[in-house]
Amino acid sequence: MNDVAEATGLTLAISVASVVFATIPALPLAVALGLSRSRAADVALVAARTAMAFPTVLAGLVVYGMVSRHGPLGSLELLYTPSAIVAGEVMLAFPLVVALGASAVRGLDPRFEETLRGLGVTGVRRMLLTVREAGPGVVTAILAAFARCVTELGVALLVGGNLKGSTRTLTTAIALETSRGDFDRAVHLGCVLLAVAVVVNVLLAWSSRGRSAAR
Amino acid sequence: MIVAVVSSASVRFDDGRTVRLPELRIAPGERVVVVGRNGTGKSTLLRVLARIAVADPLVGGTVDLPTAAADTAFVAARPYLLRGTVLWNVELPLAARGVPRAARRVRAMAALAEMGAESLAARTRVGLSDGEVQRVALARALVTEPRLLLLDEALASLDEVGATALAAALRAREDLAVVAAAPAEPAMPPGVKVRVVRSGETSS
Repeated sequence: MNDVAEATGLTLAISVASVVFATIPALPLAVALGLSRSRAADVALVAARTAMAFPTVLAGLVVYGMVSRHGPLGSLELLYTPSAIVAGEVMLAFPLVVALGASAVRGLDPRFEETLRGLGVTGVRRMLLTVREAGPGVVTAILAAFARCVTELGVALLVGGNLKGSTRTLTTAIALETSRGDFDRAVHLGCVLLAVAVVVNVLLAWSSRGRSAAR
Repeated sequence: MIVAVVSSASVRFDDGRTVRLPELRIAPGERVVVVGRNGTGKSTLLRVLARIAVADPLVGGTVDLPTAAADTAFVAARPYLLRGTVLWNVELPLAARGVPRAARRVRAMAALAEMGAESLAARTRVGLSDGEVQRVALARALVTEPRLLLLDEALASLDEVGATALAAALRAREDLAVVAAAPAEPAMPPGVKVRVVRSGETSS
């Protein structure tokens, strides 16, 4: 039972770190792409939407190539550490926050942007006000990214190494127990993972309810 | 001292039409009403003067705006209020100009009171009538004490209380130059002396 709590805690910690590191650069980019009507912004948005479906195992492979002994970052000895998982999950979370965040900004009333110009709002304040105005949609984007990180297996399996107490997440623990033939434990862990997903989705539903209430 | 000059300028619309803007030379304290049918470039003229025209739609001629952008205020025909309280909305342009929080609150309340909208301060945009939104937007425009005020059919949804309050606010600001657009007169509350300019000679 302790093992389950440990794996759950690691899963949450790694996912939160991944979403935070992805969101910091992704949100300003989402606002810029969302407010811009240029062709370049449209192309970048299509790229971000495509990258939302980036295979998790491919993200793991990319990180593996970077941090394995002969990779460019091999000297940092990051392979089989939580940091390596975070690096891979940032790759998964980033396009989600960009694409869904930009969609939320584009969904704002077209008068919003003109109003900011008319009031002389520029720079960082313009960015923050846009995030505020698109708040519920932005929260949805971040929660969707979090859900993807919590449930992914590819990165954690390839670069995590499933080390107990360090990189054993819920998904890698399920994979391990299943391969060991301990089906009951695997199902048990699966239920915990589902419970986490339910909590995230309840939050998601709650945030989109806030969106309609704020009109 | 001149607030804005528009000289033999034309604008091009997305559909390729080109419309000549009226000749304008606006002195401080002048109240100009631009009258013309829809699609004759009235709104575009105001957006050029307010420097919020999205792309640069100007072809030929010159638009000279010696007034700083921070001293220009624009009120749209259907103003948009941001999520948040009415008071917060009116404080927004002051925040953008670096006014400290305490002073912001006082000035925003004063501007709302001037437009007869102080009772709306704690409300949000939810459930406000068009006339109330218009009054809040006028307070949001006047709160920065601009030198050039641009009104895009601002009277269209303004109720009588609002029109009277606007007339008083304009009387109290002798140096404020106002350019208002309207499909036909009047674009200003009764009792405000105006110069009428016609828009809409199509140049091509």
